Amino acid sequence: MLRRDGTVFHALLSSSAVRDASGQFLRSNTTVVDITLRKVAEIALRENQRFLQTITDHVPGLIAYLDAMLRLRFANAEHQRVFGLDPGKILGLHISECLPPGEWAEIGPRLQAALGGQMQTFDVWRKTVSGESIFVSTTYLPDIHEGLVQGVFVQTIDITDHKRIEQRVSQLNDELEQRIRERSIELLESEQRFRLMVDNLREYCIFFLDAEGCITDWTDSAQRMEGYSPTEMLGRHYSLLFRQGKPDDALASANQMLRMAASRGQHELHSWHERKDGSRYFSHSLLIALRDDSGELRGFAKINRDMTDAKRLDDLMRNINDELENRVAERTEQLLAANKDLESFSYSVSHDLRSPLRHISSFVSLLDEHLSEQSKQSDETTQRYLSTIGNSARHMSQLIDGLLAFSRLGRSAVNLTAVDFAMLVDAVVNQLAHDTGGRVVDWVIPPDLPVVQGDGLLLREVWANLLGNAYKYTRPRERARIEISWSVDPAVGYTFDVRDNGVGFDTQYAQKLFGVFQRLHRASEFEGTGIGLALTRRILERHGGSIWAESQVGEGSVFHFSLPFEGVSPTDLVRDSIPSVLEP
Amino acid sequence: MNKNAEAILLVEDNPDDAELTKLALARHGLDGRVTHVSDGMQALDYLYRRDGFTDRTGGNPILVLLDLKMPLLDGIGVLKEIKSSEHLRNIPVVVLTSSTEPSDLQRAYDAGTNAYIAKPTEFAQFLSAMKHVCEFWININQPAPQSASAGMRSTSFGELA
Repeated sequence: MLRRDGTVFHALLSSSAVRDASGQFLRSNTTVVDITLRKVAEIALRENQRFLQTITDHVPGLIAYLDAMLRLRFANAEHQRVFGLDPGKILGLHISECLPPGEWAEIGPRLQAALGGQMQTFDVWRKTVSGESIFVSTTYLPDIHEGLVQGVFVQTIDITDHKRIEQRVSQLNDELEQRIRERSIELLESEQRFRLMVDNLREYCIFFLDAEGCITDWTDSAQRMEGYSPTEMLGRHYSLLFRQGKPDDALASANQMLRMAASRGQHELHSWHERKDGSRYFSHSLLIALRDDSGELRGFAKINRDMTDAKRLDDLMRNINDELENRVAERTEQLLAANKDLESFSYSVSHDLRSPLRHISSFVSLLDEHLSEQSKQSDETTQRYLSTIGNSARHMSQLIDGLLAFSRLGRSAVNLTAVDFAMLVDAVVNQLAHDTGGRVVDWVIPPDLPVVQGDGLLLREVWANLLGNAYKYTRPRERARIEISWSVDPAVGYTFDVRDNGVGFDTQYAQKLFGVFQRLHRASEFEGTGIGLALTRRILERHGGSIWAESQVGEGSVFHFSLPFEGVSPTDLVRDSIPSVLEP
Repeated sequence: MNKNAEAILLVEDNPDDAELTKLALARHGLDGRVTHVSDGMQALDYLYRRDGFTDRTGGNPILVLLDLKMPLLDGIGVLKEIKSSEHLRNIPVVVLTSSTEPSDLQRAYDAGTNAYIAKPTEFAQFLSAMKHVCEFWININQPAPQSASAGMRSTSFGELA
């Protein structure tokens, strides 16, 4: 309003109607009150409030004011951002209406306490409008005016990051503590185990040296094994343990071992070792260089193992081996001697038995001549007797020759060469067929007889014997038939067969055929020494082969023999190297 | 040829064998020339004119017939001695034995024998063998007439051996 002096002032105009009893309007009363001062104060207050609002809106954290009835009288913009509460809409509402369900029960008592004049501070997890959990620190500060609590200032600060760090630190601390605890237990156990182990080692002992070889740890096991106490040994050079030899030498060799262990990581030694009491044990000792992470030599561990028992066992084994070798050598010598004996035996047979026979034979001839000269006409009986003596001597001489050939075969080596059986058989047959004496013999010989590995002279004996026998025992036949065949078995080698239509033999005696002096026919029927088949068998066995026969009396016989492809194996030679003269 | 000076030395311990050999030699007209000793030591004594043979006449025998198995010194020992001696090595030696052992044959030839006869059981065959051996060593295998000296004889034997 405009004053008379022209100044403008804020006026509060109040008009009220004046009516009579019947309600008839009479007039209106208007009062003008100058409210300039009031207006100024109002403007200042509003200005103040805006100022406060601006500050509080930009302060991180939630700031609110509740009146004594716990109605929201003020809330800064953070409420909108954090909890989605629009300060404009929540003013005047009771605080419980602005909280998520259930939360009132928690903070209600605290607000009551604040209204009772006690400041409250507490930390609690909250959910933001975006669903995120935040940890907040809340303070209720009572607004006490003239002794009365007018309201409560509420300040809530997000301390989630702080809380998280705190939690992490706490967790880390816990973990660290846990680990330290565990490690301590481990170390303790490890240490206990180690001690237990080291102290209870029986066959082993262990002790530790520094880089110079002086003893730093002398364990119970070391004391037990070596006999020295820790006070005797700690700090002393370990060469003290080498009691044999001069101390200077011991020191030199101990240091040499340290150098070797340092350069190679470890040094090993097997030797007899003397204890303090002078008793000895065979030690397997290991000197191990101990280095730290940077590779610097920190010292050595020395492990000695008592190998005395093992050593004794080893020595015993060696003795047994030596003993065995001696016995084998002895036995070999005996066998060689036996072999020698047999050789001299067969030599005697050759020389000493043949001599008297020759004498008998020769002097019978001379006697015959002598008698003829004396009595001009020959006495028939005398002639017959003399001829019998001569024939017997001759026959015995053949027997001896056969026996000698047989025994020689056991001793002499088999000379392996390629032997053409086609040529060999041809030669043998030609010799036999040379003088047939009017006999008719059909020879059936395959044209493809193979070339085998063997001793040609000996294998000739085989064929000569078998074909000779076939020739001999077919003599009663008007037309003799002698057939050779052969086959190959990959597993065995060659098999040859000699089949005849001769007199045959009883198969129950088949094994006797191949014995020395074994004959199945009377000498008056078929001549022979009884050596031939034994010789044949021996020859074939020396070649790694074998011989067998089938027959039927009166029908003929088949003799089979086998020969390996490769000739005789060396083991057969060894096994057969000791001759047996009389064994069939 | 001076038959008395060039004897045949028979070294044989068995009297029966000695008799048979002498009989065989006699059949070939050589009986008068045989000197018989009965072991190897005696053979060397004869050859070296030692002991009982210091005053024997004649030079080296024209032939030595040598048994192998003998007491004191066996035939191989005698053979080795003869063949290693400058003075004796040219005397032909024929081993005359009962043994048909190949090892004996081998040893005899290794020791330098000129021939080896395993005596046959049959006297007739023995006679035949002796005939051949004596004919060869006494009559056929002789030095050329112009070289009567010992040195020349050795050469011709060497060539023929």
